This record gives sequence, C-alpha cells and structure tokens, in this order.
Amino acid sequence: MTSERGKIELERVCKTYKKNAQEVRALVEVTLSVDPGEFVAVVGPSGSGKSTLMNVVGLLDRPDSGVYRLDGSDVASHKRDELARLRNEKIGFVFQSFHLLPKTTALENVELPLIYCTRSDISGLGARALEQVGLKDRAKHLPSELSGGEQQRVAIARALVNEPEIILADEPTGNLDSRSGLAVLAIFQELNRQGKTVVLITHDKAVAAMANRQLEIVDGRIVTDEPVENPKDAQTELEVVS
Amino acid sequence: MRTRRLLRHGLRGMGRHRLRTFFMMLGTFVGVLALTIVVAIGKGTRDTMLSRIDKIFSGSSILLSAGGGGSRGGPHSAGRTATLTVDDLEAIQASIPVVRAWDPLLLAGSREVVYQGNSSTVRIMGHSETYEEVWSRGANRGSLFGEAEVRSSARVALVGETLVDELFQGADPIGLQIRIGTVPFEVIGVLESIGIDLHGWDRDNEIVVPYTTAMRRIMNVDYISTAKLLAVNDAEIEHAVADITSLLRERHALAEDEPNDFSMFTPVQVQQMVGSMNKIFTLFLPIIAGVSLLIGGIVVANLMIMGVNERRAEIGLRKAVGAREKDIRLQFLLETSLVTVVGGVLALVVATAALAFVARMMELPNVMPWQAAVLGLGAATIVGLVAGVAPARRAAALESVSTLRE
Repeated sequence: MTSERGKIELERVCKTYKKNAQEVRALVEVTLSVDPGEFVAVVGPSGSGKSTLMNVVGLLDRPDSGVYRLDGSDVASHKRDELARLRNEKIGFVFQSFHLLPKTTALENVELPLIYCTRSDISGLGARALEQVGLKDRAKHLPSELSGGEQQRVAIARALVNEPEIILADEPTGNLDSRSGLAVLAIFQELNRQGKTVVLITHDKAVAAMANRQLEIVDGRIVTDEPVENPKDAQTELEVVS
Repeated sequence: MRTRRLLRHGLRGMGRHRLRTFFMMLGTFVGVLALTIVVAIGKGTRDTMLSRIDKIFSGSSILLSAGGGGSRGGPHSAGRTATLTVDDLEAIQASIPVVRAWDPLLLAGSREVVYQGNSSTVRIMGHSETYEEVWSRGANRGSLFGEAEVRSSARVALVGETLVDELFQGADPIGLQIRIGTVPFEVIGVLESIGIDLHGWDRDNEIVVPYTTAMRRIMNVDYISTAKLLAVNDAEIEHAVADITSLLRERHALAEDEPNDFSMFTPVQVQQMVGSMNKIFTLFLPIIAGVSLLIGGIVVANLMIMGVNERRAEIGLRKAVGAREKDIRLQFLLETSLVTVVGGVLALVVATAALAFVARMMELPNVMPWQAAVLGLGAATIVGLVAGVAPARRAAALESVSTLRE
C-alpha cells in the first residue's frame, strides 16, 4: 500500500456555510484526486472556495456530503481525536500569516507538533527540520528577530518536523516580498522533489506556475484541472532576481 | 508522554508571559501565605500552650478544689470553702491505688517579705515534700524541704530567682534569714525558674514554704483549698475522678440530692479550654485566608478566560498540528494550576521566612508545620484546577478553522 501513502481522493464533496443568514456554497460536488508526489496549485478568486477545500483536505473541516479518502481510507468514519492524529502525522500546514507563537524561539516553534505526536524519541527532529529550510543558525531566535521570509521558513520547518506526506500551504507567499516568496517556493519545490505531496493555494498565477498541476476553482467548482507545461524553477528565478 | 511535554511547554510559557503570570499568581500567593502563616501560628501557640501546661499539669494530673460548681474556672477561682482537708487527701491516697501522689496547694496570698531592711511583696505558697514530684519543679541551688520539715512545720523557705535579684541583690540567699510578715524563716533553696505563667504571674517572684507551716504560722487555717493529684498513668484519670468523687461524697456525708462540695479539673478539660481559645487560629482566620484564596482563584479564572480569547490563533494552530480537544483542555488546566502551585510554593517559602521572624518575637517554635504546608499547597492546587476548568473548556471548544485565516 506504499503507493497509497499521501493519496488524496475527493468524490462529489459538498460544503455549505451559513454567513450572515445566507447560505454560501463553498464546495459544490468537487471530485479530485491527488497522487503522492504531486505539486498542485489551487487558484481562484477570493471567496471561490479555495480555503474550504484546504480545510477539508487538511481534516480541519468535514464535508457535508461526498467522500474524502486519505491514504485510501474514508475519513468520515474517524472520530475527532483520530483526525487530530492524522493531521499530526500526515499533514503539514503552512499559513499566510505564519502563526508562530510569539516570544518562543524558532526551534521551539518548530517542535510544537512534536508535543502532540505519539513517538517517544523526538530529539534532533526540530533541528533537522530547521536545517532543511536553511535556518539552522537561527534556532534560538525569536520570531520578532526574524524577517518575514525567515518566519515563513520556520513555519515550513514546523510543517515538516513530524515528516508528513502532505504539505498544505494557504497563500504562503501572500505576506512576503517577491524575493522571500521565491525562496519559500524553492523550498516547496525541493520538498516535492524529495517525494512530498504539496498542495498550494494561491491567487497569484506566477506562484501557480511553479507547480506541476494547476486547479482553478470558481464558485466552489473546479473549472480547470491541467498539468503545467514546463513549471518554472523558483531557485533559478531567485538567482535571476539577485 | 504528552502530559510531560505539555508540562514543560507550560513552564516555559510562564517565563514568557511574566506580567500575566505575576498577576495571576498574586491572589494565590497572598491566600496561601495568609493561610499557612495563620495555621502555623495557630499550631505553634497551641503546641506552646500545651507544652507549658503539660509541664505544670501533665496528662495524669487531677486538680482537686474545695467548693462545687464552676470547675471550668480553674484553680484560682475555685471557691474558698472550708470543706477539703489534708485528711481527705490522705484517705484518697490510702484507698484509691491509681492515685500515686498528691501535693496541696496553699495560696497564702501576697505578703511583705523583709531581708535586712529591704522589703518586697511576694506571693506565698504552701506545699509538701512531694512538690518536685507533683509539680515538676526542683531547686536550682540548695535543696527542697523534706518530710521532716513538713511534719515539724519548720520555718524554712524556697525562694524564686526574681527574689534573689531584688531582695538579696544577687547574693547567694542559702542560709540567710528572712521575715514573712512577722515570722522568721531560713532560706534553704532557690526554685527552678519558670518565668511568666499562663495567668501572667511571675512564677519566680514567689516563696514556697511547707504547707503545715503556711497553715499554722501564716494563714491560721486547718483546711486546704486546692491539691494536685497524680494518677499512675493517663488512662486511669477517669477512673480516679470517679473513685475520688464517691470517696469524698462519702467522707463529707453528702446526701444523694446534694451537689459536690469539691470540684475536679483534668487534662481533658484543659485540652478543651486550649482548643476553644485556639479557635480563632484554627477556624476563623483560616476561613478568612480561604476567602482570599477563593478571590485569587476567581482572578486566575478570569484572566485565563481573557487569555483564551487572545490566543484563538494559537489554539487553532495547535489543533491544526495535531492537538486533540483533550490536549487543549489539559494545556489550559496545567497552565492555570502551574500558576497557582508555583504561587503556592513561593508563598510557602516566604511564609517560612516570615514565621522565623514571628517565632523570634512570639517565642513560638520556628518551624513550618507540615500540616500547614500540605494545606497551603493542596489549597493552591485545588484552586488552580477549579479555576482552570472554565478556560480549558472554552479553549477546547474553539473552532480552529475560522481562527487560522486571520
């Protein structure tokens, strides 16, 4: 079943919110399959349902109807504690606004998911994750002492620390200048080359061009789903800029 | 495993949010401080009182006084009725084997005592040769009088240390002649120092003479007001009291419906008296300290609930990285109780220091009794756990989805 590890399958998934007494259909019969090792960019205007898709895929929210299979098993049958365990072990989140704990060192931020993991030996994992994002020498720094790009890289290290198969990133470059953004994207591409599934949500076509596959969502429906011809390499772009 | 990781995480968090932690800690700190100090002082005074009482009135003592009624008033307010005699006491010892010794206490009042032109007003008391055995008070210098002096109503006197300083101006008084009223006495010993007793009397400013001498030469009476009896052991006290009662009623020819013309005072009653005097320390002040602890708990709970609202994003993030609802609940419970427990420990440290200071001023034993420490820490822990319930629930119930997009 190794081929199934990190496989995401959605079948006719619907999700409806009530907002100001008005029903918002965030996801309408979304059917989607992401294979392990893919790098998928989800684009669409704001309010199109991108984030709802990420919440459902990231097990933070349950679909109203339809089936979501992660690693080939239907998550609808899992209890809330079980979902928390799956989030901890299989999914790493990266957010637009980093969400680092203030007054807490980079290393301790990175180690946060390890508090909730079931493994007994966690020594060295945080340092290794920081090394993967090139911030080994910033371990003792507080978020307030780091640049935006560095903060986001700490957040990525946190997403990586428990060695998940899937990285879910919601507008990870939205709060960054283009240089830092490229550095972050270069890390995602590198992680993808190492075999991780990356799902990246963005409204920026230039960012989406770094992925291997591009989905476009409008009004809760997937309107286009196509591979990206010759995805751009963030590392090369970064060298061009500097 | 998780609990340990969360605990370490929580301890570091306290260091990060020092101001918040400080204010949360303050209420518990003050409450536990007050509680432990009050309990410690209460226990200290109680122990001191009991040990002093035990010295003069040990567990196997019975104080027998002439006159019925108010046995609660203690020896000095008992009626001065002419009903109790030395014959009664001799009969008690002869026929009640659990009574192993007795000594009369004759209070001859304060009288003028003269030595070579110096005079002083001194309390005069009459006792027998069993004085040391019954009252645990011996002689510092010289010796006590014996059976021969008692039988012959000898004019010999034992003086307290205060008298040595004031009347004899520090000179060794053994062998010196004094006058009590008009009667000359020879000083044969200096009494062991006791200091101020529970009645506030200077027990070193008194003279003890044979009770026979006090009765015949000073007071001119043939009855006694009070005597102290010793039972063979503590357990026989009630037995002894019952036997003495029936014997004395018979000797005094009291009819069935007549009340006793004597009264007895036992260690059980002393314990009750000390207990009721001590109530303010063992009951009322701890309640007040408990109220301050309660208020401290309410403050902690409120600050934590405010903290939950401020930390919505953090809680959402924790859930996203794998925290279960019970982990969030545990985290907030731990944070709250850590604050109160650490506050309690700090309070114990300060209370122990404060107690050392108070002990020096009040002549109390200089230790934090373990009961007070356990009570203080236990109260702090309970306050923390109870105060943590509401914030923990609120935090665990937060929907993480909405907080992460901000």
